[in-house]
Parts: sequence; structure tokens; C-alpha cells
Amino acid sequence: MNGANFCGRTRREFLCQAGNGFFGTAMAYMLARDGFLGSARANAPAAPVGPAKACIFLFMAGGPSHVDTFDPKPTLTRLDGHNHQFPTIGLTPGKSGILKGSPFRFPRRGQSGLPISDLFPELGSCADDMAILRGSYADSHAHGSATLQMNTGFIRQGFPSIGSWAYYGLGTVNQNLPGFVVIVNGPPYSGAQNWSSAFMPARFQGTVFGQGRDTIANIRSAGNVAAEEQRRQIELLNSLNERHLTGAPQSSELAARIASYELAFNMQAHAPEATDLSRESEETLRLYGIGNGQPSDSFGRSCLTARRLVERGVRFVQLFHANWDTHGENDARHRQLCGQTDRPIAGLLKDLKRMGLLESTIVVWAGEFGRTPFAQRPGPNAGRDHHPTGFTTWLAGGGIKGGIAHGSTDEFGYAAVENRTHVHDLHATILHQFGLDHERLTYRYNGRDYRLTDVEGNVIREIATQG
Amino acid sequence: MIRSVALACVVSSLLCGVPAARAGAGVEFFEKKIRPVLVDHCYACHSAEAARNKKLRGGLYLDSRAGIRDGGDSGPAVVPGKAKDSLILKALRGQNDLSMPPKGLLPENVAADFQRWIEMGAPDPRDGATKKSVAKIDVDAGRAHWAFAPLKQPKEPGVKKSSWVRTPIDAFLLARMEAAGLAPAAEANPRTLLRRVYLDLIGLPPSPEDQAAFLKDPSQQGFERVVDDLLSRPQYGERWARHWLDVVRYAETHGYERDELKQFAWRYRDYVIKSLNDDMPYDQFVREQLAGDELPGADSRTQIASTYLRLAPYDSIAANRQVAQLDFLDDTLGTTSVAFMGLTIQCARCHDHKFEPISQEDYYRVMNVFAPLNTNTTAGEVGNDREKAEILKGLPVWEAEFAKVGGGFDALRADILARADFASGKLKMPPKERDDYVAVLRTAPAKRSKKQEELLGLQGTRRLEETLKQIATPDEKKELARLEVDVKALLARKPQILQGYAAGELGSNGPFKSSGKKGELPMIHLLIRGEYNKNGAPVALGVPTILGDGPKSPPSPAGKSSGRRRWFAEWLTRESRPLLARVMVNRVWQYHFGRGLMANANEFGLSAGSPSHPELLEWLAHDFESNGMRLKSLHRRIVLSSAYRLSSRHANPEADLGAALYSRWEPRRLEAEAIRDSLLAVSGRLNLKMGGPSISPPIDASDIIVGASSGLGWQKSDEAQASRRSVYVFAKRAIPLPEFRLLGMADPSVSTSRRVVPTTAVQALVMFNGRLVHEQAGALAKRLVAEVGDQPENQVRRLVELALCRDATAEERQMLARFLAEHPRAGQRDVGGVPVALQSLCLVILNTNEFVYMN
Repeated sequence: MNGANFCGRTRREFLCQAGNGFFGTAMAYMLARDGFLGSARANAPAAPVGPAKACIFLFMAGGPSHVDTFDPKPTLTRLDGHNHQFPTIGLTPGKSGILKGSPFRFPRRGQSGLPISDLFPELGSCADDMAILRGSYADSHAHGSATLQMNTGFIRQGFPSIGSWAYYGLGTVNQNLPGFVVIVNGPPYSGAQNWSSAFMPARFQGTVFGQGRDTIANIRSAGNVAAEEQRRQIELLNSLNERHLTGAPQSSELAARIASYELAFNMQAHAPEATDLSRESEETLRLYGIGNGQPSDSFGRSCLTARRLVERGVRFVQLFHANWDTHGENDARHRQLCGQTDRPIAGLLKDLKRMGLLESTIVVWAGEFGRTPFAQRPGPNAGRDHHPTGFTTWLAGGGIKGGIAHGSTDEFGYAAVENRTHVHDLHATILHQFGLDHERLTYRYNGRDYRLTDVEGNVIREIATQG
Repeated sequence: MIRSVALACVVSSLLCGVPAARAGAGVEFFEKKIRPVLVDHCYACHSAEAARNKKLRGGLYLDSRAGIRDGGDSGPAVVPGKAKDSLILKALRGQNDLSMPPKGLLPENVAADFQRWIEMGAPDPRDGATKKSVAKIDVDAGRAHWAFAPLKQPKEPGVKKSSWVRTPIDAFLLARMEAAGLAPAAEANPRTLLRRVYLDLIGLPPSPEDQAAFLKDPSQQGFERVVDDLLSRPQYGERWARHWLDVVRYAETHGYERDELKQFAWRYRDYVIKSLNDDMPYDQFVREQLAGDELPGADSRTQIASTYLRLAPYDSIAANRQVAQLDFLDDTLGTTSVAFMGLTIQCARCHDHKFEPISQEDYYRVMNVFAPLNTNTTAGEVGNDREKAEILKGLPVWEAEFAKVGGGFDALRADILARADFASGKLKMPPKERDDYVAVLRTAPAKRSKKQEELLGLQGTRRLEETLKQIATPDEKKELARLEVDVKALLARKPQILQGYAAGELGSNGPFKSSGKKGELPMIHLLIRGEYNKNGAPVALGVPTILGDGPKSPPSPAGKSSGRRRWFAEWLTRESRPLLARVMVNRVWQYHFGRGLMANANEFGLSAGSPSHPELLEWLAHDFESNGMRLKSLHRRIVLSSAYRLSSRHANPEADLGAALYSRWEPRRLEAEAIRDSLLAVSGRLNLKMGGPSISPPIDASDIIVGASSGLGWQKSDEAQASRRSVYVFAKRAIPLPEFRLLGMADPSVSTSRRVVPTTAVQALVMFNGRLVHEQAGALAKRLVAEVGDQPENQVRRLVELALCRDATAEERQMLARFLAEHPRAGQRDVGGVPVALQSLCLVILNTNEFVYMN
């Protein structure tokens, strides 16, 4: 199994033989830099070079409506209330429904003049940084499998998440924080499977960060042990472990586990700092819509935390916002949901930009699918149903061209018809921006070299600055 | 790493059978309207150049006349003159699930041009023969593979240091060491060895009493006694069941969005534990899991074994039910092939295997075995007629008893209720309702109307209970309480037919449809590119070709079952027995030594290479076979070897990196489950109750990170229940126990052949800060005070003895005592009177490498 035979093995052996003091900081650092134990790379190119160094994936769990947000459909609005028969597409059988036009306006924004719904007034001002994929499509209209697909590439359970793939391909640069962090504002369907490393080693799984003091699970002592006391405990632990190590001096694993406690202790000090927003200026907090009981407060905090993590070298930050599953009251719910996320996302893009981080940070916005152009339970409180055959995702930063819309759906927003981009294409593009070739980043499991993109996927070169 | 002996890439020239079209109007049309479209929109994925760039899709070449007419995986792209049969036209128009180009359909006038061209006879001047690379499966090379050959008994090699050799295993290992100029390490000291074999065989550390007993006689005979004792303990089955549950990706829920319960799936876990404890022959274990419902003499036990076939994740609300069912069966087939045969047949669902001589047809041959399985998600009764009759025999006696006890309970309740005084106005129950209750309570259970039954519920309602409390005298209340306990106890032992999650076949509930005739089995077609709606040629039942021709006689149907799984299981455990044995002994070896003789225990195919010690593997497999495939004999063979006793310290460790030659013991971290069990054992809290429904140790609300209804099904167990062994922890796919997830568990969605242990800071945090370890450290400190009193010196000795299973050295005793004395909170006690510093010390000891490693 490739995973167990990382090239780091011999180097660790070397390190262990070379170092007499197993607690040397250099070794701890090297172990840490290598993903705590061994190199995180296997079949990845030796040193991936791409414009993106980090990714913030904003996942809108439940499936946001594309025709109300980023994909204006005047025809749909004009024919609002009419019955329409839609054709069969792939696995989705044809159906008829009462068309439901969007009540929202789509003003042209920025120099590019990209139309973005007035549900996103703040985000609209970032239009020139965004590449909007209006011809997105996916394979499932059930939440569980569709969510898995957007996060792991497969509609089946049991595959590593995109964050795990990125971490596996690139390793991490910060020894005090995990390389792949997950922040959950609202739970996604299929739960922890969405950030599982599946058949890859567990160290590539996402680490869930909470807000406030409980940054990472177990970051605080369950016994409320003070730091000074912990320091003494770790000192004793170290001396016991070093005595034990003399019984198997060749074991790099034992040495790595000793180092992991020092790292944990550092993480205890640094992780809360990474999520501590109290040092951020008033102006920054406002930018993200944080404070004063605003509806955007919670997601704003997550977005700002994401920026702080990326700033500190975390490779992949996955944010989950819920619940976009608007079977009823689609319009009112979208007002509410967009209100919760508009300022935070716009703030994130603007903040990354002014800090010079947007060039190296790819920001992705996607749900597991879009929503139907026809009404569910027609009437004043109509909803929209799940819709994978044509929807919108968008990217910004990390070498992605701004101010462009790529691909399109038909005049109703039902089927992706032109420059269609499958979830695999989106994934291939994200890896590409990291300098990773989605066809070569593989992991051998049960007789097969698995990829994030299965056997599909084309990089969407039209939206990348470097093609 | 990949040996390509299996696949010969044969380049065949596909010659065009149609006379070349003469130049003319047709060709002009082709050049003007057709070729430019093909070049611009199709060649990127469907041309010889695409093939060179590894971009060829669907096996389809559109850059030659031969290619376009021969077509790809789905059939001819163009049939001259027949627009209706030409797939290219369907694709251009987005019909029948075909839609090309993938980025979006071209304007209709392009499709119209193609239609016209095809109707013209598809004139095409492109003479070039397409070089189509066809992977040819080399079955003969496959059948000659060592792993499939009959078992041999290799001769024990001669060695120089023969005094070291206790068992033939040692001879094989030593011969290799000597060839490399290596000598084995010294023996581990007796207590290290004792702890090693305890953790290995039962997953729990030896108690101080166990240690003392062994120290009295640490000889080989003494060690043999220990081994026999451990193998006879029920905890052996619990420990080794966990290994098997990893391989078969056991879980009790379906996964995906809803993650519903697979009801009574836990009975399978208990089946595995019991089978191991009973030392069931491995071939029987295999047969029962694959066909426990079909075997002659099937009973509840074997039916429960067949739960194995229903463990795969299943998307109960999938977008396409047929696809979900196919995925479920594919998972079952795939897990079966890696778990029992070490073959990655699953790879051939969509195309011939790239690294193994396994064709796509092989996959569908074997799919015939599983295709008749029900894919529904309901539990049902298990047991054969005899068992059911046996259970129901007790029913009349029970009913009589219940009538007596229940009758008394009902009569007393009716009497109390009848006295109700409504004048006080305190009673919530209106008179009419009271009358109804009295009436039902005074009617014999068998004579109650449906409405009356509903009113009363199983034992009564809360409303009835409250009203009774308001009226009854203190004595009556006591009597009511006593009777209620009796009634509940009786209800709990009502003779009931066992419920289980056994496999079954009906033939109509799967993705493969039969003709509809009653009793007719589904017809299996090869699915082109594995897609559910692209039927290829029909494929008949069979076994993978590389493993031989399979049985001569067809399956014999039994009852509602096709008998195919029995047919398969009997073939597997008879004709394919050598492979079965090799795969299993390698697993067992790997769990004992932390490293397999084959690197990946799930892969024994041609691309998997050869074992590190081929003759040893062969000898073990042969020995296993001659001992009737009994695992306990195999364990004995292995743990009683000299190799198993080695110290992890070696004079020259560099000469044997990773202990690949077994010249020393390589310490390895315990699995998350064994860490948890060891913590509980050492703290004294471990509850050894076996079997039954799963337990749910406490988890934080924030750990229930799933949408919609998936959060259901995690009940909080009380402390005694929560302190049971890890194998009993609820295996919920969407919500793994956080401690397991962080310390590294087997993902229950995929077959795990070997745990890869994470060494991360996050893992250190759960051990150092987490609730579980803090609680056990507290309990351990309390235990120390209770067992040896307040003297730090005694506490330290006992602590090391309990947790690390050895005596503390003088230096350590000093070090630990100093830690206690200089502790910032020295002298403080918690609410239970346990010294805080001692808890703090216990936490450190439970975090040591020595505690979490098998040394």
C-alpha cells in the first residue's frame, strides 16, 4: 500500500539515528512539517507549484437556488405561473411543473457587469474577482449522496474528501495547526463522512474547529488542569517516554509520538489564538458583519476564522453553512440565508485581497445542487425542489480569473447546456490551481489507483489565469 | 510495484470491412459538414491521439472510418444508412442519457447534417486503419499464480543456531536472518511478554494477579498455560472479532443522508464473537456468512451469519434506486472478494481489471451469485421451524402466568379507579374516561376490543398511572409498584421469535430484473462501463476464470433461495481452499506481528507481488489446513514461537529496518478500541458483560454533526453500560465515537485490512485532555487509594504494576513520588477524597508510549 510507504520513512529512520536528543526542536519541526509523521506526499509531483496555496471551501448545505442568486432567467420570470414540461436529463426523469420566476433583481455589478442577485448586495461588489460557473451539474438529487459527491467526488460512501486529497498532495506548512480544518455552522448531510480520509491514513481527515475557546476537540483539559500543571505533566511524560524509547531506539513511531505531545501543547497555545477574533479591528469585524446580534454574526466569525487559519498556513478550510433546503418559502428563506452569508463572504474576499492573500487562496462557493425553476407547493410560500442537472457554483482567487461567467443553463435554468462543468471538473480545477494534476494524484486502495475525480474531470482552463 | 505480466497489450489493426467510399458529392459533404465538427468537438477524447494522451473515452475512435463504424463500449457510433441505430446521432441530440459534446450540445443543424450524412450511407474517405489497443487477459498466466496453486508443505530449512528454533516458524525466519547475517534479538523479559500476549489475544492488559501467577512459572510450559487460558477466555472472541469486523466494514446503520438503523445487525457481531470463541473452522465461518440462510439445516445462528451480506452502506433515498441497489451489491461483491479471496474483482465493474487477469465478464459472472439478494432494509424473524416451535411451546405457560399476575394488577387498578371521587375536582380524568378504563381492566385481555387495547396500551398509560396515584392509599401504591415490577419482568421474558437482519432472496427486489415469470431468477447482463442502464451481453453464473472453471453442477435452489451463494461458498471452501487459507493465515500473522507476510492482506492477486517469506506463508497455510482451519491452533503456533518472544531491542536495528526480517519485536500502538478497553481495565471500571444491543458512551452534542434525521439513534448509556468493551460501541456510520475517530478507527464504509495509526497532535490532545482519559485517570486514582492506601510510595508501585504491568524501578519510584510531592495542587483532594496530584500522575501514566504500545 502506497500510503504506508511514504518516502519519509527512511528519512525518519535517519533522523532517529542521527538525533540523540529526541526532543530536539528541529526534529519536532521536521516531523511536524511533514504532517506530523512522514511526508504527506505520495504520488504527488515532487513540489507542486500552483498559484493557490490554500483553499476555503464555502459549502451551502441543502442546495441554494441558482435562479435566485447567480443565474438570472428573464424568461422564467416572464413565464412565472405557467405550466412547463421539462425533458429527461440523465438520471432525472422529465417532469412538468409550474414555473416560478425569481422575485429578485439582478443588477450588473463591478466593471465586468456580472449580474448578481440583490440577495447578495455586498458580494456583488466582489463580482470582478469571481468566476461564476453557471453550467454546473452533479449526479444526484438526494442530499446524502450529492453532498458526498461535492465533498469527495463520489456519490457513494467511503472516499476521501477533497480537503484530504489536498493535504495528501501538498502536506502542511504549519506545525501547530492541522492541515485540513472544518468549521460547521450548520451540519451537512452524511455527517463526518464529508471530511473523512476514508481509505487514506487518518491524519488526512479534517479536524473540526469550534468557535471561541473550544477551537479543537479536547483543546482544553477535561480536568481543567492549568497550563503550569500540564507543563509538569508533559515533562514527566517526556522523561518516561524517553526511558521507554531506550527499549526500542530504532522506532520512529515512538519518537514521533513523543513529538506529538509537544505539538499538542503548542497547538493548545496556538489554535485558540488562531480563532481568537478579539484582536481583530472593529473595522475588520464590521467588514465580516460580525457583532451587534446581526444575522451574519455567526458565519462572519467562521469566515474570519478561515482567513486567520489560511494566514497561518492551514491548507484547506471547509466551512459548512445550513440549511438551504428550501422546499417551502423559498424566497423568504433565501433572503434570510443570504443575509446570513452575504457580508461574511464579501468580507472574506475583500479581506483576503487587501492582505494579498487572495492571489494564493482559492475560495469556492457551492451547495450539493441547485433548486428547481418550478415551484414546489405553488403559492405565495412556494418552495423549490432539489436540482442537480443545472446550477451555479463559483470560485475566486488562487489564480482564478475574475469577473467572468462560464457556462450556462437553458432559458429556464433547468439544464446546464453550454460549457457544462461537472463536480469532477470543479475538483480538477481546484487541484490544478494547487499545481496538482488530478489524473496523477492517486492513492492505491484495493487494487485500484483512486483519484478525487474518479475517471473523469477536465480542468476548466477558461477560468484560470494561467490556463 | 505493478507487475504487468498479466496484461498483454495487443495492438490489432481493425480493418475496414466496407469498401472505401469513392470521392464524390458525399465525400464533399463529409469534408464540409462532418469532418470539421469531428475534429473540433470529438477528437480530443475519441482519436488515436487522445489514446496516446490517455484521454480516450468510452473506447471510441472517431478519427477513422473503421473506428466510427466499429464504435466503442456502447456499440457502433455510425451505422451507414440507419440514422436510428447510429449512437452518434443520439449523443448529438442528447437522447437516451447520451449527451455529446459533454460541455454542451451543438446546434440542431449540426445534428441534422450528421443525420443526412448517415442517411447518405456515411461516405467517409478516412482509410487509415485505427490502431486500437486491446488489453488481452492472460488467463493461463493468471491460473499459474502462486496464490491459487495447491498447498504444499515446504521443508523446514536448516539453520545454524538451531537452539533458537522452537517451532518450524522459527526455522523459516531464522534461515532468512542468517542469510542476511543477522541474529535474532534477545528474549523480552517475562512481564513484557505477558503483557504482549494478553493485549494481542484478549486486548486487555494482565492484572497484577495474572502477572504474579506467571512470574511463578515463566517457563515455556508456564507461557503455554497462559496462552491456553487466554484462548479459552470469552474476551478472546471480542478482541479478534474486532479484526474481522474491520475487514467486513461492519456497521449498524446504512450511512448516507438518513443513516437509518440496520436493525439487529448487532447479532452478527455477537455471531462473530461466538464463532471465534467456539473455534469454528474457518471454512464453516465463510460458508455461514455467505450462505447461512441457504445451507442445509439453516437455523437462527447461520441466518444471523448471513447478515454479512447486508452490511454494505445503502442509500435508502437515492436519486436512482436501481443505482443504489447496484452499488450495494457491488460493495457486497467487492468486500467478499477482498475479504475471503484477496482479489480486487470490484475493479472490473466498468472494464477489464487494469492490473489483474480479471475480465469485466468475470465480475458479472460472480455478480450472478449476489444479484438475487434482497436489497430491502427490513429486519425479520430468524430461526427454522423447529426453533420457532420450541420457542412458542413456552407460550401457553407464559400466558397462564401472565394472566395470573397481570390479572391481579388489572383487578387492583380497576378497584382503585372505581372509587374515584370526582367531587373534589382534583382528578384530571373525566368520569367517562374512568368508566372506560375500569371496563377494559375488568375485561380479560383476550376479550378486549381493539379500541380497548388501544386505550390501555401495553401496560397502561401515563394518564392512568397519574390518576391511580391520586386515588390509591399508601399500601395500595406499594402493592401497585410491586405488581408492576412483576408484570414488566414477565413481559421481558415473553417467548418471542428471534428478530434478525438475515439475508434473503425474493428475486424481485434487486436491480437486476427477471422476466417477471414467477420463480424466475434475474438475468445478469454485463453493464457497459458499469452503468446501470447500459446492458451488454448476458453473462451466466460462474467463478473468476483465473480461479478455475468452477463447479460442474448448477446450484440447487432451496425454498425461496436460488442456492447460488451456497454453490459459491462451497466452491470457495473446496476448490479455492488454498487461496482461502493463505489469505486468512496472512491476516492472523499480521494481527500478531503488526506486519503481514503479504504487505496488503486484502490483495493476493498477480499485481500484489510475492510474500516476504513465501515458504513460511505456505507452511502456515498448510498447517492451518491440516488443523481443520481452526484459528486457535494457528494462534498457538504463532505465539509459542521464539520469534514472538523477542525483545524490541536489537544490537543492530539498522540491519533490519522495520523488523521486516523479524529479528526483533517492533513495538506498535494499540488500536483505538484496545486503548479504550485497556483504560477501562486499568481504572477498574471495565464491565465485561457480553453481547446484546450496542452501547452508546456519552458524546457531546457538537459531535452529532449530521443533517436531518441522521442524528437519531445515539442514546446515552449509563455508566455501567458505557464501560463495556469497545466492540459493543454502537457502530453508526455518520457518527463515529469521537475517541475512535481521533485515535484512528477502521472507516466502516470500506474494508480495512490493516489499521494505519495516526500520530498527530490532535490524537495527543484526546489522550491528554479528553474526557474519557480524565475520567479513567480519576477512577484509577480512586482505585489506588482503595487498594493500597495513602502512601505515595505504595501508590506509585501499584500504579506502574496495574498500568504498565511491571515493577517500577527505584529511579522511577523516586521520580513519580517527587512529581506527587511537588505537584502544584499537592495535598488537595477532589470531592471523593482522592488526591488531585495522584489523578494528575495517573493521567501521565495513561498517556505514556509504554501504555498505548504493545511492547
